Amino acid sequence: MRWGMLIDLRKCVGCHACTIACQNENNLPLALRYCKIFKVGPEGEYPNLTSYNIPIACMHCAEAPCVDGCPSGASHRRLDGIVAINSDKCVGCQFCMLVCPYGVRHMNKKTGAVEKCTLCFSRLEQGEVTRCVETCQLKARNVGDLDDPNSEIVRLVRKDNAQPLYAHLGTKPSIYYIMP
Amino acid sequence: MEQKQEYWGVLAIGYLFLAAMGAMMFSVAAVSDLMGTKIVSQVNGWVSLIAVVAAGIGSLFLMVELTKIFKAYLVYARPSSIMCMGSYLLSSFLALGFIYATFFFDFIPWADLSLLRKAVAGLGIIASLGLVAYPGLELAEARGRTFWSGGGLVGLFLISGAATGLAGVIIVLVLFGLGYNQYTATLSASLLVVLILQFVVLTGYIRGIWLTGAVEAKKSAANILYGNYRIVFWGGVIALGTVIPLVLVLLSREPLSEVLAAVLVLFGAFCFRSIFLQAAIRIALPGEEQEVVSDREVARLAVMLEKCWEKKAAWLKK
Repeated sequence: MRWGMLIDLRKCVGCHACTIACQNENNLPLALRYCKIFKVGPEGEYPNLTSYNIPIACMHCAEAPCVDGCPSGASHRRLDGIVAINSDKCVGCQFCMLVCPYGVRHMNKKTGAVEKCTLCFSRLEQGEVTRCVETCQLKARNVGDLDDPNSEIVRLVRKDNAQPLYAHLGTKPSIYYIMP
Repeated sequence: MEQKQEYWGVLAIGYLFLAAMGAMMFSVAAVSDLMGTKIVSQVNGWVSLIAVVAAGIGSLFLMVELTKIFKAYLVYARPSSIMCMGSYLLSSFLALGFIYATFFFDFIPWADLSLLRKAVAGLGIIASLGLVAYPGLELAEARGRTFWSGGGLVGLFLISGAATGLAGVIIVLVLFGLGYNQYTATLSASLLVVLILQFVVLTGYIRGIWLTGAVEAKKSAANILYGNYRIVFWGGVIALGTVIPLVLVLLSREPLSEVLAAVLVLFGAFCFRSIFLQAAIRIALPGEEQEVVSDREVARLAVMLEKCWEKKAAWLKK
């Protein structure tokens, strides 16, 4: 079992609904966003221009530098592949923030612990989809089991040759993108 | 897009500097002891104590930077993590350095056990070298900060640490009135060699990154050579921290100039750690360079907005 997500950048219009839904789901302060949307482009030469929006959150890497580097064991990889943080164990050294190549970890100054996207594991355990997947009106997001060759997500990854972001860094992310 | 590394600041720099200086001061003293240098019996106790205090203050800096200081013991919880290894190395060094220092004070019952002292010195050298080298491995774990991925980072930290260790011991020797001494002269000569080596390795590292590194690593190198850190690099690390001490050590054997050179070397080593820690920017995410408002600015605006909402809510309740 390895939970993963597929984001179709051809469909994402950058409405930020997933960002807001995530903030609501996790009761985050206004300034804290587990999921950010970046606007890329326009790139290329006229008339071959392209522009797209890319949502960035925790990549739930199989070889996560944040997990390997955490001295207290607060950052850990669950059996279902989700990288989670035990707030009670987090000492706030910020080493995980330093080593994360995607810059998706945030220090919550109120709790003194590092936080990030949890891939809504409590919702997944109850058979629901993540809040961002539920909210996305354009169905640009899919969540599923990357280890199951018959799952919808694996089928879509294969069909559209989806790729993780910065695979060359060797962290083996579980979030895949279909590029426009 | 990051303009500089923002997570570890001046306290972490202070820790890296003090821990390296303390550890290498101990190493210099312990190696001299193992080589049978007679004069060390007069100063090694104090050198080791100063080394332990310096590294101890550094570790306090590190603890202050934690958001949950009372849970600091948890940094020993996961030995496979490089940071945890560093914590064990630091603790081992502090313990061994203190025990070693006790051998040089006559009122201590085990002061005459030279074999035990040498064994502690040997173990202490291993711990101190590990303590100086591990930041290079620690920083290299940040795969998205390619400026730290250069193979020579561990060597660079070791060489810079050796320079600070030698400088620290020279200062102690002069303060103890042992400035005109063969041992001090030997240490000054060693400092000369280490400074030349540091200059070659440091410029080689940055040049190597500049020529072969990823885009972000090149930006980091450019920031050091021509950008925001150019004054600290050329002025602090190269001129004050390397060239002037070299000239001072070459031209004069006066204790005052030796101390001045040593202090400048320490200043240069602090500058070196400062720029190497801050300059390494993270690989840019797609579209991140177009972010007009930084995270910090977003946080500031969000707090302002939340305050406005609170005011409005209070007004509506009236």
